[in-house]
Amino acid sequence: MRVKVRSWSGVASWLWVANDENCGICRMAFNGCCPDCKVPGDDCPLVWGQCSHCFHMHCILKWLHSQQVQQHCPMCRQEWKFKE
Amino acid sequence: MLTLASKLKRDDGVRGPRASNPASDSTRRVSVRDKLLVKEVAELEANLPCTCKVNFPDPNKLHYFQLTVIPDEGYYQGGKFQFEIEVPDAYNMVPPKVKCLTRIWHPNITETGEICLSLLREHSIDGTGWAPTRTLKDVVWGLNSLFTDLLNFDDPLNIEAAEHHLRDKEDFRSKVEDYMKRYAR
Repeated sequence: MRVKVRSWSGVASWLWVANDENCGICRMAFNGCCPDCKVPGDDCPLVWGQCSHCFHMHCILKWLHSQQVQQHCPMCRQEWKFKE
Repeated sequence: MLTLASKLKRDDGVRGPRASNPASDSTRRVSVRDKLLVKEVAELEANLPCTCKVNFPDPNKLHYFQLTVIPDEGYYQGGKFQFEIEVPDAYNMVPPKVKCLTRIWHPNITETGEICLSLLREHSIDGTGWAPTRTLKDVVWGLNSLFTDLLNFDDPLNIEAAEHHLRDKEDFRSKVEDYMKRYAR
C-alpha cells in the first residue's frame, strides 16, 4: 500500500520553566501574561533575579521603576540584580 | 521566531481591524487594582484574625473598607478600634492608605489617626516597607498586631505616649483605659 501525504500541520506546546505557578507581583499565571499584555510568550517574558526569584519582566520593571532609593526584590527584599 | 502577537498583527493587517469587537477592551478593561482586589478581599475574609471585622459600605467599591479591631489581650483589651482603608488606583505598586478613626493613646498611632507600620510605608530605606508581593491580608494582620506583637515603644510616632510608658507604666495604662472608655466603646 502506498500512502501519499497531502498536507500536514505541526503542533507544539510550550511552558515557562519557573519555580512557581504565578507571578508574585500581578498574581497572574507565568504561562499567561502580565495584566498590561494581551498575549503570553516572548512578548511578555519572565526574568530572574540573582536571588533566584522570578517575575514577569513587565511587573518587576514597573516595581523597580517605582522605587526611588534602592531596588529590592519584592519577595526576599535583597538588592535586586538581574541574573545574567 | 513566530509569536502569537506577531501572528495576530499580521492577520489584522490582512483582514483590517477586527470590526466584530466594537467595545474595544482598552475601555472595558478592568484595572489591575480591581482584579487584585477580587482575589485579595476573598482571601482576607477567609483569613481574618478572630479579633477583627471588616465592613464594605459599598459592595461595588472593594477599594474602600473599614476594619474594626477588638484586641483580646494587652493594654488595649476590650477596646474597639476603627480603621479606614483605602486602596489607591496604583495598587499594588503602592500600599493601601490607612487611617485610625478612633482616638487612641498608642506609641505607633497618633491621636489624629496616622499610623506607623513599616508595611504601609511607600518608600523605605531599609527595604522593610511595602512590596507588591504583600496583600490586604498582611495589612489587616499587621494592624491587628499593632495592639500586641508589633506594639513598639522604641520607635514611636506618638513620642509623648512612648515617653509616658517609659516614665510610668501604670499611669500609661490608666490613660489608655481612659481613652478607651471615652472613644473606643
